[in-house]
Amino acid sequence: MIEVKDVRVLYGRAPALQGVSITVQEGEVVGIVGTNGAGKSTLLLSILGVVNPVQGEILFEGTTLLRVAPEDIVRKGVALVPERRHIFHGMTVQENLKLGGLFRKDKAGEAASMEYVLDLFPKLKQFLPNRAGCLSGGEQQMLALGRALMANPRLLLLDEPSLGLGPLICDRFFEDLLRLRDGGLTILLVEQSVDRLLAAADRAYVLRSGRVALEGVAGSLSRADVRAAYFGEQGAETGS
Amino acid sequence: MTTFLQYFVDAVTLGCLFALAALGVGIVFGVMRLANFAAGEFIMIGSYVMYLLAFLPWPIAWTLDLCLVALVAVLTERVAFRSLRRADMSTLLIASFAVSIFLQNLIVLIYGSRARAVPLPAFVNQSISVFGLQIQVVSLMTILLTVVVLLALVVFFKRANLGLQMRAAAEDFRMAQLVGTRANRVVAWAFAISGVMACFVSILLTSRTSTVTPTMGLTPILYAFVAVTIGGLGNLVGSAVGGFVVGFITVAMQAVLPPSLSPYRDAFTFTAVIAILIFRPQGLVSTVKIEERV
Amino acid sequence: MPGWSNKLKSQEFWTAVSPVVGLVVPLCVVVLLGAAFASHSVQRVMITTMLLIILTVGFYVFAGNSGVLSFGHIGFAAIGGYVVGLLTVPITMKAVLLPNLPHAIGKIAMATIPAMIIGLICVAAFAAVVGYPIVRLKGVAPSIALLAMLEVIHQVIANWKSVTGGDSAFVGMPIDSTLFAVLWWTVIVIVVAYLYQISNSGRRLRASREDYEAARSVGIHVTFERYKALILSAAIMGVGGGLYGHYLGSLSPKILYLGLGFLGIEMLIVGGFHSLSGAVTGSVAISMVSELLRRGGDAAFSGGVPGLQEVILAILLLVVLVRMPAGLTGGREANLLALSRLWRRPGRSTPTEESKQMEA
Repeated sequence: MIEVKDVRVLYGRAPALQGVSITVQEGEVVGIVGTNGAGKSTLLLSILGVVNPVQGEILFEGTTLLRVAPEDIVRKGVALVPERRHIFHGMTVQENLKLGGLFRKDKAGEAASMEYVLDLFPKLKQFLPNRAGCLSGGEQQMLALGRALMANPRLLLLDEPSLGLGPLICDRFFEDLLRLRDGGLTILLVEQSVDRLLAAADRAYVLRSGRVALEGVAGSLSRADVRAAYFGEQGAETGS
Repeated sequence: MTTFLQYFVDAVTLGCLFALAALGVGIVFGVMRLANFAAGEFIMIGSYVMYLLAFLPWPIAWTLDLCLVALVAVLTERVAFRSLRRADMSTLLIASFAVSIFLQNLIVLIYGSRARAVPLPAFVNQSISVFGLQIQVVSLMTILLTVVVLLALVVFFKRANLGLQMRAAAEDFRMAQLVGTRANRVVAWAFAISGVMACFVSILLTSRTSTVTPTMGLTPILYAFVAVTIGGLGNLVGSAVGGFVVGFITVAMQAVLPPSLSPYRDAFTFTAVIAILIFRPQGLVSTVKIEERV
Repeated sequence: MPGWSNKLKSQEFWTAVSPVVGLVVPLCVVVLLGAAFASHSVQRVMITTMLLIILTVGFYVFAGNSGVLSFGHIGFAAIGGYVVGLLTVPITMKAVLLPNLPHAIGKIAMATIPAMIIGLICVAAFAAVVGYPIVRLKGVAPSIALLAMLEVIHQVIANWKSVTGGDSAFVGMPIDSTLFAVLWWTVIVIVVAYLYQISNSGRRLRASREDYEAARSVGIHVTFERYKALILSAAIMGVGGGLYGHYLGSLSPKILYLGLGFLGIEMLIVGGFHSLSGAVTGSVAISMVSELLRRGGDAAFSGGVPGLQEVILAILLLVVLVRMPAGLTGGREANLLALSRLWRRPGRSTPTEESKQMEA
């Protein structure tokens, strides 16, 4: 569904991604791990058109995403649950959700999505008229996911969803994600917690210093391999 | 008692005028963190268009005026500010200064710097008796228009899709883009609305002074800036409140200062504003962080 | 003395002084040549350029170091101009032109230099009083407050007829802003600005410019540093204002007001917002452009076209903001060492660390 080919991204003169290639097939959950600064968020931002690669190609269902504005990429069916949620604090839960689907032309579909999201997260239904800034971390995470789902995406990007959330809430959240995958959603997930990632993902990539250090089917990757690739210890290999 | 009421009406009228100007500045500041100094020239151009179109019946002239100034505002965004959209607040402020100088001197090139008289429809300077007070029609217009505008803005931001998107863009521009908001559209509309606000101010202002000069935009924009700052940069309620506060302070100064000091009225007003800022540097109504993100 | 010759050869010494030397020496050379060979009108252009350098450097000392824009700095120059003027206008002229002057001032007339010193102290004192609440503000608010301050100053000057003559011209100042007098002050201003910039206080302020929160988190009292910069920059503006008055021989509220203030901002942006060299370079560049426009305008339209010059300069500023936000100097200071390297190896560029890494 999405192909990232040999993408290079520079922040000023500092290289953030140095030739990263990733594929995600339809219906998969693909995970990306790596240390801070490895380039995980930058990868998501390049897919979304927020950051422009100096080299490489990004194809979504065959069409290029390079030099396409973020708001158009969203219209193609890519949605983001950003790091630290980025919900609109000053707006109500209902307005936040509504915003997620505002660009859609299909009003019936929009209403159906809203119903779907509120079914998925009954807590949000309860808080509809409240200011989003008053919600707890876990509730905001739900809202961020719900807002992304309102766009009826075909590919869902998540940037470190476990950040700032307690373990039990995380568990719930990942359960929800897997349920979404079962419903046909393709997911690309960036995560710091290796265990959660390997448990949830079908395939995983380990990024280090802007390059892919290891990739493989999640089940077949041993923790030791991942750890070696993550930290760059001896014996780490690229390719599965 | 009558004098007090008279002053009160004056204060409300002036407050309305400043609130309109401040709202125009505040809307653009919200979406772009741009304190648009050139809005003063929008006001000035609005008045020059009134001068140009004075031969038309006033409803047509004023409607055209609104459209033209909105167009000028959108054009300045497109030409001058779009390429600077990601720039920091200081750069944007300087750019708006440059645009202001450009527009001002463009008018000087075309019309010279002499003041010109603007013919006005007769009803504008008549006075009506309300509860024993003599109120000018233009003052009533100001107050009524402001009420309508405030209501319209509330409905717009709460209900209209574009209003929601503007609020989102004002809070978190990048995230708004990532939920599909068309950045260019939202910013252009924000400028269009600010142009309309500026034009309201020029119509109301010129109806009082009946003259236009190229430099007439400076005082209103300065007051608008001060109103927005004192109200709290980054939120529209603050801008409106700031406008009213500045209006009230100005009239209070007028009432209180002895005649020998009355030419310094503006000086006293601004000093009072700075004094308020000593005690509340973040403004009177502060909800949104206006600092650059850490 | 052995220590000295070593010092003169050391790189650190030259790195430290080269910005100042790189600015002051060419300036002096140009002025000396001008004094010897140039026509009267060219000499006048040199004087006005140096006056603008002083005003721009004054603006830079605050805005360039702190990152806080000020549209009101020209107000300090206005105060300086009028205070110095009040002290130097001969007593007889004062009696005629400003009969209502308070007694004490009416009886004083002093030489220019002591007047300038008193003037800059007065302006600094004013900045000390007014500046503190202003520097506490955040975001764009201090810029707006400084603009309001300018308006207050302008109103007071324009209306205080007994002291300033109000709207009409304030005349009578001895015209002694000669080429060398102004050069002298310009050099002092540049040196002072540079010394401030490399002082601990200046460095702390520049740190806050880069990252306000980070600076505070390492204990930098940003408000206080801004305050100091404001006072110093106000003093410099006061000097500029005083010299301006003694160049024109008269002042009016409109002269040291927004038009000139905007020109100063423009010069700093075009030259390079973050460096002293930028302040000087921008002043020179814009002065030259402005002079060319004026002469071109005079040739094309008799008397010049009002407004055209400002329109062109405004467009120029916008172009610079979009294309070259770091200005002509890119925020760098004049670097004699770099020049000397160019001299030694013509055509060969020294490999930098970054380019080595790129190849790896």
